[in-house]
Amino acid sequence: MTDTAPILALDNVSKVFHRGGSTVHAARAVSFALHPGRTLALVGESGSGKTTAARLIMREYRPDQGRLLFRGVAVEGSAVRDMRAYRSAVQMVFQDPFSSLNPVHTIRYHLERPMRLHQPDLKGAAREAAIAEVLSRVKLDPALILPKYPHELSGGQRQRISIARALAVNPEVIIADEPTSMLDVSVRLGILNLLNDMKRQLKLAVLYITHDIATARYVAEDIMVMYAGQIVEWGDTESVLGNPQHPYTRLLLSAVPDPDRRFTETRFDDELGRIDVIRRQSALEQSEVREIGPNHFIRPMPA
Amino acid sequence: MSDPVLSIRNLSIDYIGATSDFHAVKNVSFDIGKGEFFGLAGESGCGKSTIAFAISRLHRPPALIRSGSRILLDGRDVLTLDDQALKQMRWREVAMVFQSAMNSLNPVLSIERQFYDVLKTHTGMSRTEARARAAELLKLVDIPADRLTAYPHQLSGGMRQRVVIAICLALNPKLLIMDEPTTALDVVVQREILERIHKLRQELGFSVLFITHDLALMVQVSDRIGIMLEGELVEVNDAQAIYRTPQHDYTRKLWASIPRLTGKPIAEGATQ
Repeated sequence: MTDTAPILALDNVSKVFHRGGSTVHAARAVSFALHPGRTLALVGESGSGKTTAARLIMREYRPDQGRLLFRGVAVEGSAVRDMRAYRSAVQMVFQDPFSSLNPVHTIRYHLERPMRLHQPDLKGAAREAAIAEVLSRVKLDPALILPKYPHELSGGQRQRISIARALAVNPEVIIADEPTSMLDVSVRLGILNLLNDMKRQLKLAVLYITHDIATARYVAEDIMVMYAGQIVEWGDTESVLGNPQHPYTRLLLSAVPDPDRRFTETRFDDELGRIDVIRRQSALEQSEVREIGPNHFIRPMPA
Repeated sequence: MSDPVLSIRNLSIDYIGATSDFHAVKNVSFDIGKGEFFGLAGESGCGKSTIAFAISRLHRPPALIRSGSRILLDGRDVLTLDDQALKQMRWREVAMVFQSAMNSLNPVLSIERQFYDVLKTHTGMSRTEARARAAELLKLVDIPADRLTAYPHQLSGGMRQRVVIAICLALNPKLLIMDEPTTALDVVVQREILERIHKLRQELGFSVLFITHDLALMVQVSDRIGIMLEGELVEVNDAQAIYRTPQHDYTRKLWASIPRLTGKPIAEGATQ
């Protein structure tokens, strides 16, 4: 990790959902920290708890246990004014660019409104300049794009608007939940590059949530692998992906399509041969943490 | 290619509009050999699904197949078949797994009943015979026969997808068309399903037309690949050649825009 103090941190957070007679552990003793100028990737399959982590940060869910820390201070129980500061500091980019913009409003409205709310002192020409600036950051032409409605834009353009909207309030943290999964491959890279540029130029802390591990490798310095609400392996991206130690991580990496391997040549044959066992055992609670190397940890799978 | 199972010649399909037509498929020709796994790749809107629908004659207006197009299945032109002949052809010669096919099962019928529908309609099998055949087919996709009495909602997405594949194999088709069959599934489940298909193809000898936007996956599983761009088939070659020595500029650009899991995060010459 880095020596800088984290902007945002989850400290031992748990969240349980009850459905009928069954309980789902969507987050189990989850701890991680976001640092300025760095991207942390959260990868896992659907239902692993990735989006629950995002919702806990966005305050859609309250943790059952543990704390959400903003600049080292617990967010729970903070004053309304502090909550407003939190809301403008932490912004989200959603998965679906087709449903996250309001179809009855122009692009101008989508960018102007967050500025009115969070920067009321910004008026007239200054606000106009700020709008032009966020649009140029996402490489869109203000004159062309501002009068348009969401349906007039392509998926990639809409996702750029979603990012511009998030940037409009000068955030410090961006939570991006599968921001490229609904885009075509040729458009995807542009969005990933944008995330990388923002991180470097604006010193943003980014949480990049995805099931696409190759894209995580492209944007993130650090990575966490989540399964059944538990982070099973985490640390430096190259170390975790190059030398995976948790059986679930190894299983996941064996299953990810890799054009350099024929279908019959797999990376970790052993793990693919015991999928059911790995799924069952990895879903058990494990409080022990083992250090694999510098900035590389696992929760060993119970035997 | 000698004796292809499917031979598409000069296929052109337009979507007829009020003021102008949209040329979805432009003069496309390719063959799929016996037992071959052929991948058709391209971005959304490139016409790949339109081709898949046309092969089983499932296209509907405003889609119009232009004259001069030919779709030869075992030498017989699908486009000339009447309704009766079409009925004979579907399932028996060509079966199709749709995108998010796991949601194409009827929610109020048991799995057994869904097998029975196909088997009775096409072979006149009795209930008992159909039950035995269905159990056999489920075994092919690693699902225990006792799940025959289950309803779709009682199965996971991956299991439902495997049930659909088993139903598609019920009449031993020569060609299995799979349109984004695993897009809605997690990678581990995707891997399990494709491994099954891989084995079954070797055992049963059917050919596969596999449609996806996931190029990495396509290279892994296919023998040959066709790349589509805006209705045109711009490159067809062996899977490894498509990956290692792409000839068309668009194919090269596609590869350059895909982050890698190992080695350099992105290929040289990436633009944007």
